[in-house]
This record gives sequence, C-alpha cells and structure tokens, in this order.
Amino acid sequence: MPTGYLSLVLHCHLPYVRHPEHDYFLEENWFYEALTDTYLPLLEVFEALVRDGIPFRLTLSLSPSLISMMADPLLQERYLRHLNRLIELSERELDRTRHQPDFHAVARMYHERFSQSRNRFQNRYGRNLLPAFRHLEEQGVLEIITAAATHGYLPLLSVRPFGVRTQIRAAVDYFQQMMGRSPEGLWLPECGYYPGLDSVLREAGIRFFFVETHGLAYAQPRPRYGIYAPVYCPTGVAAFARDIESSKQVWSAEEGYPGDYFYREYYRDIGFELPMDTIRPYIHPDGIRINTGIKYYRITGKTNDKQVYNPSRAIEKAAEHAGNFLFNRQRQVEHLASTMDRPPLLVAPYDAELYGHWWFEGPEWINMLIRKLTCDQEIVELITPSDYLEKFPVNQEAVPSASSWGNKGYSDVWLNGSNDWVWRHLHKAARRLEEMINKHPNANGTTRRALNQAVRELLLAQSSDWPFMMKTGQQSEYAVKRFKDHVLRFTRLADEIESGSVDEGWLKELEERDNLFPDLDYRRFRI
Amino acid sequence: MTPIRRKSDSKPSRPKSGRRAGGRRAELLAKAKSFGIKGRHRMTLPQLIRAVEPNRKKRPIVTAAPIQTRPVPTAATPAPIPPKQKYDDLPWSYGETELVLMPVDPFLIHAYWDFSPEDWETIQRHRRPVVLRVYDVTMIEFDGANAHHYFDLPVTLETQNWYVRLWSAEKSLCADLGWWLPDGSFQTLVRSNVIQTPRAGVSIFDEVRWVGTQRARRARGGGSIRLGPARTRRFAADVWRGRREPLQKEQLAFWKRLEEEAAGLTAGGIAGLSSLRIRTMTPPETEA
Repeated sequence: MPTGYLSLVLHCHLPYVRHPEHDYFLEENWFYEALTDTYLPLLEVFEALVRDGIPFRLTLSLSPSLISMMADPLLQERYLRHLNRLIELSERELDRTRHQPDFHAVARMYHERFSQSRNRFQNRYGRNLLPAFRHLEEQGVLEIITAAATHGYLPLLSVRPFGVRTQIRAAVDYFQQMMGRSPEGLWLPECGYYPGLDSVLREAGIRFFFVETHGLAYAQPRPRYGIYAPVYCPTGVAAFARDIESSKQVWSAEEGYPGDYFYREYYRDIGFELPMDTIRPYIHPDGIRINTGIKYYRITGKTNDKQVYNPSRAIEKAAEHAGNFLFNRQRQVEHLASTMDRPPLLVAPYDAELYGHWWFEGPEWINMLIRKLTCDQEIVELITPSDYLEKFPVNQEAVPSASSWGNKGYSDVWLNGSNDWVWRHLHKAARRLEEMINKHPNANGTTRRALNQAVRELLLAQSSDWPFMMKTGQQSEYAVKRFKDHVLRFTRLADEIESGSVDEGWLKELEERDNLFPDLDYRRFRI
Repeated sequence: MTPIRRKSDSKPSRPKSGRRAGGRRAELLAKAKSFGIKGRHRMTLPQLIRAVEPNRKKRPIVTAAPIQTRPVPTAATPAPIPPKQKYDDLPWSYGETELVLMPVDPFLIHAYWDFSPEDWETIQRHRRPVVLRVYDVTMIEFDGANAHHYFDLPVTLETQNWYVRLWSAEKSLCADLGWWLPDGSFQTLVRSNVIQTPRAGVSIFDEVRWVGTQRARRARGGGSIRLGPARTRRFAADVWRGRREPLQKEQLAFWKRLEEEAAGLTAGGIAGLSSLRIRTMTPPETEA
C-alpha cells in the first residue's frame, strides 16, 4: 500500500456560447481556443499514456453545457473553419519568419500543432471529442463525472430549491443520455456548497462531490482526518476537499509553476502585434484585434522586453516542475501519514482550461507527472474518488460548511454590487417555472415544447459565468446581454404558456438557437 | 413613547364604558374590514381609529357599493409598475410582495425586496420611515416574537436591496421590512425566508461518528465491523458510533495549521482560482 494517494481532478467547463444568427461570433472563440489548446492536447496526452502502457487514474469533470457544445454540428463545423484559418495563418507565419531561425522554429511548432489538431479532430474523432473521452474511461484510466447543468452557482439558487434541482436533474439526465450510464460524482460549480445540497445530490443518485478546503476543515463535527479523507454527509453522499498545498503550487500567480520565465507568454499574441494589413483576415471581421493563438515569446521576467520562446527548453521545465510537484507530494503524504491511521488522500482539482490554454505547457506537465508517479516511485499513488470509496468505505459522518472556491471562500464573487440584481430574476423565474410545470403535468404539442424550452432558457440564465463576468468586468456587457436575453425569453414563453397562445414560429427559432439538451423533458422536473 | 396596552380600553370594573368601547370597536372593525385592513383584530382602539381614518377621508363609504378588499389605485396615484407586454428589458418589479435574504459570507448578508402595486401604494401613502429588522432565530422555530435578539436598520425602499454586516457567524437569520406605528408598535410589511450564515472557523464539536455503506459491509463479509441500525435511509445504511477521544497533541498541531491555511483562504489568500478560466479569454492587459 502506498503512503498516500493523490486524486487529480480536471474540471472542464465553458458557458454555452453558440450564435447561429451570426456568421462570426467573437465569444465562440472561447470554445475553439479551448479545443485547440486544452481538450485536444489533453486527449493526446492520455492516449499516449495508454499507448505506452502507463496505468493511471484521473478524474475528469465535463460540464453538460460543454458536452452540448462538443456535440453540436454547427460548432463542429465552425471549429473546422477556425482551424483552417489558423493553419493558413501559421503557413504565412512560416513564410514571414523564414529569415529568423528562432521565430521560425516556433512558427513550425504551431503549424504542426494546428495541422495535427485538424487531422485528429476531423479524422480520428469524427469532429466529436466525447466518444474519445468515453473510450478512455472504458480503458480504465479516466473517471468522468458531471457538473451542474449550466454551471449554476447553487448556494444562491437555493432560495428556490427548484432552481437547484433543475440544475442537478438536467445534468444527470443529460450525462446519462450522452454517456450511457449515471454519473457517480458531480462537480459543484465553483465548489459552491451549502448544507442540505447533498440531499438534492442524493436524490439524483450522486455518490460524491468536491468542496473547497474550508468546506471540510470547518465541517461539523470536526473531521478526524481534516481534509485528507472524505466525509459522508448525513445523506451518505461523500464530500472530498481540495488540498491547499498542491493547489497553491499550480494555481498561485506568484508561487505557481505557470509563471516560470521559460514558459510561453500568453499576452504576446500576433493578433495584437502584427500590422493590421497582415493580420486582418485572421481577426474579427470588424477589425477588432483578438488572440489568434500564435505567440512567440516566453515570459522572460517582469519586463516588456521578452525573449523568443524555446519549446524544448519549456518542456524540460515542465518535466522539472512535475518532478518538483511529485517530490512535494511525497513529503506531504509522509508527514501526514505519521498523524493518520490510514493513507492520506490529497485532492488536487483544477480548471482544465488552465492546462494548455493559459499554461501552455500544462498538458506536458500532466504527462510528465503521471509518468513519474507511476514509474519512478511508490510513495504516492493516483486514485479517483470512486476508487477511494471502494478502498475505504468507512468514513466519518459530518456536515461540510457552506463554502466556495471563489475569492474569500464564500459567495462574494457571485453576490456583490456588480451582479446582485440577477438573483431576483432567477428566483422569480424558478418559482414561475415550478408553478407552470405543476399546472401542466402532461402537456402535449406546442405547450410541451414551450415548457421544455422554458426550462432551457432558465438553465442558460442560471449559469454562474454571467455574474462572474459581471464581477470581473471582462466581457461583462456580453454577460449582461446573455443573462437578460435568457430571462426575457423565459418570461415571454411563460406569458405565452399561461395565456395559451404560444407563438410557434418564435418557439421554433428559440429551439434552434438555444438548443442545448435537445431531449430535455420538462416533466422530469416535477416534484 | 409609551406603548399603549391592548386591554386598557375594556376594564371589567366599568362594564358600561366597556360595552360602549366594545361597540365602537365592533363598528371600527367592520369599517376596517370594508377597507381590507389586515391584522385588524390585533389592533388597539387608537390603532384601529388611525387605520380607518385615512381611508375614511379618502373614500367615503357608500353602503350600496360592493366591498373592495384592497385599495384600488386611482388615476391620481398610478401603480408604479404598469403592466408590460414588451420584452425589451427586465422589469423593475414583478408586482409581488416579497423579501429575500441570502448569505454572502459568514459576516455579510444581502436582502432584496419587491412589492405589489397595492403595497407600494400603501407605503407611499403613509410616508413612514421603513426599517429592515433582522432577527437572530438560531435553533428556534420563529413565531415572530421569540427571536434571541433583533436589530433595526433604516433602509431606502427604492434601492430594492441592502447589505447587512454582522458581528457573528453561523446564525439563522430572518428579517422583516416594517415600520413603527405612532403608538410605538412595530408593523411588519413583509417577512423574509430564513437563512443560515456559514461557519467561519473550525467546529467546536469533535465527536467522531463513522459511517459505512452497505457495500462496505458486503466487502467485509458483514462481520468485522459491528454495524448498528441506519439513521440515514438508503445509502449510509450502517453506522457505528466511534469513541469520543481527547485530541492528541499532534492532532492539535495539525488542526492549528489547517485552520491557519483555511483562514488565509477565506481572507483571499489565494486569488480567486476559478477566475483563471475567464482570465484566459481577455485581451492583453499587462503589455503596453
């Protein structure tokens, strides 16, 4: 038996951004960039590990809104278009940098990456990554879990418990539909937990979830093993807590690995640097400069005088950091094991988009970490929450404390002067939907479709991304617009359902536009 | 201000005046009923008079007229929210009276409210200062009068929301929006939901209770652990109670460290980590 366990959890989520009404839509790039930078490279790392016969266990949370986007033909088509343009741009860059060997090497790297991405996306995965993830799960290396349907921040939705139930049930149903089995675990958006949430999870058949460090450190009664073992809520659902030390090493802007001077600099994109005439075809059609994904510099230091990125040096660094991370985990579990009568468990959850998109070398770091973990040592072993519960089915019973992983650890990020106005609308809509569903327990035809669409609109409005973006002030206009659009669409649908005069043309338009969870059935949300 | 006692107007030693007062009371109650004044049976005589008086001045009673249960806004005092059929912006009000509390963190709560057009009209007619009364109802079933304590905050109703700083965590709280009546009593306009503010530190309870699952019992052949009856229904089917042990020295050190780290976290020690997802999507901001 190893001295301790490490549970790596990657949480993949993007808000549902799909605008068929526009030929080009800036915010859709979030999805395309995440595909190129994170999801495809991660898949490649996992598949290479399997190919090399490396046994590992990793937990991947795929948010239902992200799965919906992955499965959407329009976005798949548009991603290919995006990739084609990117490849064309990288070809031009090869030509432009032909007399600058350092830059040329980086340009070649991008060109190869993008071409491979296209090949894999189109030919290997048939444009949909979900089956590839599912295949990895079948091979026993991944444990895929779900998240709340559109990443709604549950502690604040809980004023109307119906709103929380909608998020959970829609997520579990959709997961079942797409994965062919029920999810064992559920990622609570922003790790937002409140006592009592576990009973909703229990109802949906969820066995475990994750909380922020103090969610368990402040649990009642005080957990004997602190945050280094899960607890069972009174409903029997297990709560795992994030380990603070392993998080800090990766996340922290100052101490974290991603800030290393040899790593690629995110903020020096040719989309902002090349002359307008050169870059115009590859940015926003209106001439708004955007990130293209081609960046030539390394972080270098706290200076504007950046040096050229050296891919092989950066990979060496990633391997070094993986070694350092492992070393620290070994010392950590050795220390903890001396105070515990079972192997301590370190849970290290991260936003997946950190790896590759923000931290360009992140997927390589994961690759090296897993290889070192499985081949070089026996002190720390990778484990998933389900495996842990199999091995250690007896755990302490406690009620975790209300908490989130947002700044300051509670609901401050999603409830402050910049976004507090959204909640009254969400609560009102949830109540209205609940009443409507009870009033129409078995609607048919247009009314049923309208009710289904009303559920979709409410779910889309509930996404925690909107208040978050309002708080950070970045893309806040888009967030406000999206939030209002969905609430207003919901209100109009509700009014029309109540008056019995649903505008069918408009409903059809909505079904095509906000088309996530196509098989959603409102009757599932009756209480 | 001396609160007027409810029964001062019906002393048993003066049956005549009592009857007279009672007759007056019945008459006022009937009027109050016709005006749709709620809680009229709990009002003292002066309260009843005051409650009925403004209505009498505004709308003389016509006996043949149908009884209206709520004051109807006239053309002079239009309802603040005209019914909207357009869907170009979110409504300022949904026209329903409610008060909702939400916890922000252990020491901060947020309240928002909304009123029906009729209630807005009443509020505007009386022009009394409105306060948010926050009750501490921890571990009790609140009946409106048994709170551990409460405090009042003057609020501006038009803002429709308010933040309230607190001095202690882990409380059950409930709130009223209301005002003081001239007789010194507090009248509630609307009552909120009950919320629980989060714990702000390590729990003082350290009793350990171990829980296994049915699966655990099967895996262990059902014999190695003495498992008692279930308290929770399906999943945590088997339970046994751990011994209560004093915390060992190293455990105390362990907890001290964990507590410090968690405190750093809740103070914003590690910048909002989830923010990375969105940060990655922003245009350059550091480079000139």
